[in-house]
Amino acid sequence: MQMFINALATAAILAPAAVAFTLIFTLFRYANFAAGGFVTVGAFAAWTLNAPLGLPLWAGGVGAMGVCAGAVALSDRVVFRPLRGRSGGTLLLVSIALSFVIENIIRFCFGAQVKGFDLPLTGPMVFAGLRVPKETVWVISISLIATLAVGALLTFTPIGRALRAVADNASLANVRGLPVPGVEAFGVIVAGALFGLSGTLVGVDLAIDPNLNWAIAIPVIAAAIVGGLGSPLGAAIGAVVIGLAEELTAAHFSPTYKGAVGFVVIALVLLLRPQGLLGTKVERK
Amino acid sequence: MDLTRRLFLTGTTLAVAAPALLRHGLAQSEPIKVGSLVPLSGGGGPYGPEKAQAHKAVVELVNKQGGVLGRQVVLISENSETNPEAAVRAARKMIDADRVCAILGTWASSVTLGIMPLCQEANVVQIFTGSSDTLPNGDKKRLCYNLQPLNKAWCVALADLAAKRGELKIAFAGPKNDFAASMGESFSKALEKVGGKIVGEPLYYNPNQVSYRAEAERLISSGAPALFLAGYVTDLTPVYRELVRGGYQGKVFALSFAVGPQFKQAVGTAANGILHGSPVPPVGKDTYDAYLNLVGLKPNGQVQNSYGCAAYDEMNLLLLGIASAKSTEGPKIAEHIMKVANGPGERVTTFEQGAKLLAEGKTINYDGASSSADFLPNGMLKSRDFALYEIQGDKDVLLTTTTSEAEQ
Amino acid sequence: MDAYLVAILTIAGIYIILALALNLQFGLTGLVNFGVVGFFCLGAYASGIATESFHAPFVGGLCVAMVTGAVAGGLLALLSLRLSGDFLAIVTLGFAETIRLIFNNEDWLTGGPKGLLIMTRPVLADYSRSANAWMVLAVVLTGAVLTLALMLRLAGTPYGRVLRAIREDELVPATLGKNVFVYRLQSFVIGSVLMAAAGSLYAHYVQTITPDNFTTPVAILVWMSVIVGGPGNMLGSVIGALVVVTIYEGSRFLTPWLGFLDAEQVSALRFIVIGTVLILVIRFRPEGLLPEPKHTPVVPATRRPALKG
Repeated sequence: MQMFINALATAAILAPAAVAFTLIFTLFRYANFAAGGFVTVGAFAAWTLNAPLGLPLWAGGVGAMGVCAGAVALSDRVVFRPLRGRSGGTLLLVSIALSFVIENIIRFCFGAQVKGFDLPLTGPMVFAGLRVPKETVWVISISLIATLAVGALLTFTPIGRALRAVADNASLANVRGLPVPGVEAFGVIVAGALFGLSGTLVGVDLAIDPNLNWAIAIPVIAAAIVGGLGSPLGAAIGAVVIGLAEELTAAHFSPTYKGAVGFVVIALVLLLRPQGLLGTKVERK
Repeated sequence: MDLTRRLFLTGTTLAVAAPALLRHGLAQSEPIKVGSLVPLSGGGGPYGPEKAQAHKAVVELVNKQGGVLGRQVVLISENSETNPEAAVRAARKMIDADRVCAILGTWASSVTLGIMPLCQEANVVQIFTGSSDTLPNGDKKRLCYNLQPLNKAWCVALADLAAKRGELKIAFAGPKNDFAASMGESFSKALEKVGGKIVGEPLYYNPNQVSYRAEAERLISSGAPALFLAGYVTDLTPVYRELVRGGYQGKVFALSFAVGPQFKQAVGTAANGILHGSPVPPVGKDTYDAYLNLVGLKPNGQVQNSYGCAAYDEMNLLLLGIASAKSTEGPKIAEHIMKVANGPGERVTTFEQGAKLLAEGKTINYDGASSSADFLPNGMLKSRDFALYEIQGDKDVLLTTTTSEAEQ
Repeated sequence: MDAYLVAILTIAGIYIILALALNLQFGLTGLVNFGVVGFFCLGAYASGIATESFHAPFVGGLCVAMVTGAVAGGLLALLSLRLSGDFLAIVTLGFAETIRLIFNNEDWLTGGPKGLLIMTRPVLADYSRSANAWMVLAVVLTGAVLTLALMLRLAGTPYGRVLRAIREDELVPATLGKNVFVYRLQSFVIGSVLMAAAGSLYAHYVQTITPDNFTTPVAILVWMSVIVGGPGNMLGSVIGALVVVTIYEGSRFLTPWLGFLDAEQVSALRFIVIGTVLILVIRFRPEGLLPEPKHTPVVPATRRPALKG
């Protein structure tokens, strides 16, 4: 049970970013490996607002979502849009190169020193022998609300329905009179804000340093793939699966192999469901 | 015709021989090149700059006083990035392009070990600070000197402190690297000697993880009344944070370099009560004050630049070794470093004093800023001072100072 | 200085082999292998363990490395080659990371994080240090030239044309009765074997290998060699590798002019430049410095740029 709480806490950090990764994948059909880079941008943005500028953490978080939305929109405009129509592999290579550029820009500006939010460290609350840190309660609730909100946004609002239509078939949506570029821009901004949220949550839980990039990219992508790359709900469930798998590995096997968990899970999923992971085949030609 | 051919032959011979002749003539006045390979980024990033600064200060001083054997000293500086691969490429450039006679200042054991085959092959002297117990193994030609005590000595000091505090059951955790692995082994032995015992298996984790919750959970559920965390600041900070959040109540032991200002700022008042120790320079001793004055610091009774003072000794020892050997060949320098460091001879604390006595044909014994700089036959340090601290009210409060002798 | 040039050329030779191997997989066949560094690492350790723990000679180590590369490449290909491009990329990337973790954790086999010390070298005994350096260079360059010859030969044969056809559109060769999967498998395995061989050469050259030597930036450099040189063009990969190694080592000599930046910023700047160049080349010159030679088919057909597909 304690392990389940811990897994949920890990999942709560990964979930918003995994949802964002899924959103970009369904809209543009490429795996954006710069996900870890954007989360790191979010963590540093929140830190800059919180520690040196002295704003409260919630304001830092909102600021981070804004900064990340801007960064993702900018990268889409400058890097990815001119490459629409190239193969998934090419875009993946570009996104890996981009994540290196982002990581090193952060290192260039902030140095490699470890940073932490201006938050007092306190002990856990104890319920029936279960230890629940106060921050964990916050992290899980905020993450859950954000994921549900994005899910509701996609399911019930007109813009959400338009987004799904564009993701399904952009040319058909265009023919039907939907403003495709506008809808895509909206999707990109939502994804960016989610990356920023993940970045803030990471900062609450971990030390903030430029190396976060790869450490966070792998589990986020693994969660999205496990979830089927189709729906936000899937990505959130994927995050829980990855969180549990990591906790189990660390508890019963060896913590040093935790880094491989994401990949092993991806390999297993691909072995068992090679037809496309979400049950239905993704058209990619 | 004959004449022309002879002219041609003579001309060619001269042209071919000229560089060799020139080189021979130059060798007497050619500058002595010394490599400084310190971590300016990566895990050792916080400690590299003070080492680079100390190397530079000594070289500038010595050059102002007329150089070594009448030759100027040229310092070649590179960044090891605390990464053996980058360090090997930098060392290759220093050895092959610059032709240095020694590489000083490597900090991480993995870097020192990584460049060792290269230095051994090219007869290049290595003087460094490192504490992995495996360091002496690769030094087949006896070219290495270490100004840091090995983990064995470090752990004896920490285990003694733990025993004094009545903590005899301690769990061990550290990142998965050479340094922490050797720390774990040595600490377990040292603790057993004072009647204690390591709880459970030593726990190793990968640095750069998203979450250290599972590691903290394992340490908490082991029920150990005290923990020894042999991490660097980048991984110690999140591990410690998870421990506090998870409600861990026991004592925590750590290494001083990991719980510096960065750590204290990141965890705040929760850092109170952490016990930590490290090798320290002899505060108040004339040699240490001389070093501080040279790099523009004021002696204030506190430990400052604990790696910089070792770098000061690295450079002094090398230059005295060269002056004593009257040669820039690695094996000869290495042989003479032992003589000037261990004596017997007159006590000297700077290059200037030593070089003067050596020129008069006397023997010397260098006394350093970081320690008395006496070595075992394998080039490892004989003994060094350790200080043990407790964090109280965001400050390090000195508990005791001990001198720990290395075992043969 | 000459000895330093020998050292840089040796490294360049190893990168040339890696780039050629990747060019076979990606440039000719269109397989996105991000696990370059995994096979490189596997070859280095396999060779090192064979010579140090089992006292095999250098050639023995090289053979062990190549067999290991073949087995690993074959298994990975069987697992993932039926997947489309991006998933293959993710699985190979995961393979590289997992290999590194295993070698970092299994101290009994690999020495763990303190690394493996390798005394066996591809040199004759009792020569001077500089003679040894030249001998290692000769061995590495022989390897690079042999690889280049093999690749040029492969690219020119009907076999190479089938690989290209698979890259452009797998349905066409499939319709012509070619077993697309087997061709892909072969291309992937040959590439993996060459990468492992490069690893073996690297291990016996640097003599200490730690898992830290085999991180993702190495893969980025190899990818950059292929993309900058021109995917599908074998000579292009050679030039690309030389360009990349020159940028990487040459930036060391720029440091004195970048005095206003600290060392950490300089090393970050190096990666910012490399990443940006990579993105710019893909966007503005996807055919690279040396474009793939156009093969005039009997029936003229329109061709898409090399990176599409």
